[in-house]
Amino acid sequence: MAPEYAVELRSVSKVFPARRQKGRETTAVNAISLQIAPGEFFTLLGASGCGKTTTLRLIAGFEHPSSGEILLQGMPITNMPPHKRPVNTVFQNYALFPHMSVAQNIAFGLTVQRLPKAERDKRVHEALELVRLPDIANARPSELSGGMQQRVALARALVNRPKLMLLDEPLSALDLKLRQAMRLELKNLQAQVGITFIYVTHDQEEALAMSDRIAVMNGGRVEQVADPASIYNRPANRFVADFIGETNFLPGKVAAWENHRARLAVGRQTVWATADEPLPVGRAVTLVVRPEKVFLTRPEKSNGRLHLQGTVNQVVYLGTDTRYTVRLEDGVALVALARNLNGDGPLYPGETVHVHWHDYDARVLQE
Amino acid sequence: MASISTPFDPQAPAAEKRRLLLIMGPPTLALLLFFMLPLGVMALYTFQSGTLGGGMTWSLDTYRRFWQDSALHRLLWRSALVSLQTSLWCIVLAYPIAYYLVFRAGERRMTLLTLIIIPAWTSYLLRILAWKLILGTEGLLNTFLLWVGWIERPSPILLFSQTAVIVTLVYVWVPFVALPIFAALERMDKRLLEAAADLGSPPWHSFLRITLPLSLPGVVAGFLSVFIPTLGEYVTPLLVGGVNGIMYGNLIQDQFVRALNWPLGSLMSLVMLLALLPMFLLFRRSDEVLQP
Repeated sequence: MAPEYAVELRSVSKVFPARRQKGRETTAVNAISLQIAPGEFFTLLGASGCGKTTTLRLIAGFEHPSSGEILLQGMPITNMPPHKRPVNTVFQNYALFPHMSVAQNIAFGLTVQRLPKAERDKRVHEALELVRLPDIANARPSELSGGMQQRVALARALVNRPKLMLLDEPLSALDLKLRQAMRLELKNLQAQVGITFIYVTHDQEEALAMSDRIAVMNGGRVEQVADPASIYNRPANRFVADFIGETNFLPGKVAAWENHRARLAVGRQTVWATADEPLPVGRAVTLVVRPEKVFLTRPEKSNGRLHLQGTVNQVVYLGTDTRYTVRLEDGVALVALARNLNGDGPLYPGETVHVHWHDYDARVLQE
Repeated sequence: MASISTPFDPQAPAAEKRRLLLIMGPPTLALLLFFMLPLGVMALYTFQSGTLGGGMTWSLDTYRRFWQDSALHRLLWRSALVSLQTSLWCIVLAYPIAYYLVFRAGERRMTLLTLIIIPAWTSYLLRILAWKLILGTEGLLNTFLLWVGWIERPSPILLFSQTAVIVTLVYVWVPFVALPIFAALERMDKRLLEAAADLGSPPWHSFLRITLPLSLPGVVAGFLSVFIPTLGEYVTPLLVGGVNGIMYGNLIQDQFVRALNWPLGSLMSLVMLLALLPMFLLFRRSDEVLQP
């Protein structure tokens, strides 16, 4: 029977003991459960200190969990030392061996496996072709640029044909242009070799662009696991909504609920928002809506839909978009992002505007 | 050479030239006065013969004498072997210490490192005399061997032998070898070991392929910092070496102090200096090869 998951974490926790007498023990990873499918590009996304790197190190075997179980293709590997795991890592600082040539670096894993030299050379060559660096086999890592070192680190991991590859912020040391180019390249490479990738990053844009699924982490816990569009459009909670992209949070009270829609009282007005679960009338909730989903119209052009009313406070021209800050009647600030198409022309500070959105673009969060 | 010629660069502004002369001047002067000049005087002595106070003449007799005295050559060779053995034992003993301090000692490492260095603060002579007490006929080692019944009467051979010289020198020099190895291991990026393990390398393999090669500059530095000074060693052989433990340095001292043959003593010193030159080349070469 083929194992269902490439990797499975069952309620894995990692508690680091206190350093010296003064310190307190820290729970870096708190009862995380994840199932990652074969061939998936899976991303652990979170701010520094959220436990994403520790999770990766637990899977690589550099740390052992305080409790819980880790399975690789259905086999428990919880306490297996790292050198016995068919898992390879691309490290944040690349960790290339400075006293070896590029070819020796890439061949390292194959040498350990005692592969014959001819086979080894062939695979090193293939790996270098794969990362599009065929001519630097004899260079030392210190002679290479950051981007090239990054590719060598990739080749060194890929050449072993691991079941699973772990990537710890591999692009964070590169400059912006190169980083954006490498995103695409890495994604294509993963599709080409078909290896399961677990990718750690704090860069939400990177996560959204590359991943099949994203686990948003915070304080050692997983806040939400979903595909990029769902993470963005249907954040599970306030943390995810706030962490990914820019979001407006508006306090409201449930006025009615029908057919997955809730009518909310925000200040003295009411608006519609999506709510999957039935909500009792009078419940205090938070309405979440992305700035680019908010429309601002002059009152005379408003077509009578439910809306909020406010005053334009600040206008920032961004080229493709204009960013408006609107102060609603009850004093809450709201951000709207409008495409600069040939239309009504810009709004000006001090103007009274109607604020509205499509029902399905605004969501209700219960807290 | 470019940096040395900077003060004389005609295009450098005068103020810059003055500043460089001010910085470089005193040490250069001190080096010339207290190092190069005496060395030159010593070299001049080798072209003389006779005893100090008994009339010296310019001649190449000293060279002839040194060339023909095979006992001197043998002693230089034997001293080199003593230094070599001392250096190698120092490395064998110091490497595990340094390794333990860097990889296993954790938060106690600085305390332990200090403990290793503290004995080096006491007088060099005192430390050698301590070994005389340990190795002597009334000493700790003999008493212990008598007590366990391995020997029936105190053995004098422990003291006053080449082995005694090596044991004592190793004791004295181990901390100075441990330090550069410690520094090299400390400087090593520990994540490289994780990378090696990640690529399937068992710990011993990682040690041989990663840790050891990357710590070699420290090992070479440690080796030289023992080999060079111990080759000219004469105090330790004098105190614990006896007749069999005598070293080249003792003979040099004899020429200056007892035989008053300064020309021969000078020549012997110069020969030793030249013998050490390849060592410096080895050091430079190892630095080039091993430094990433």
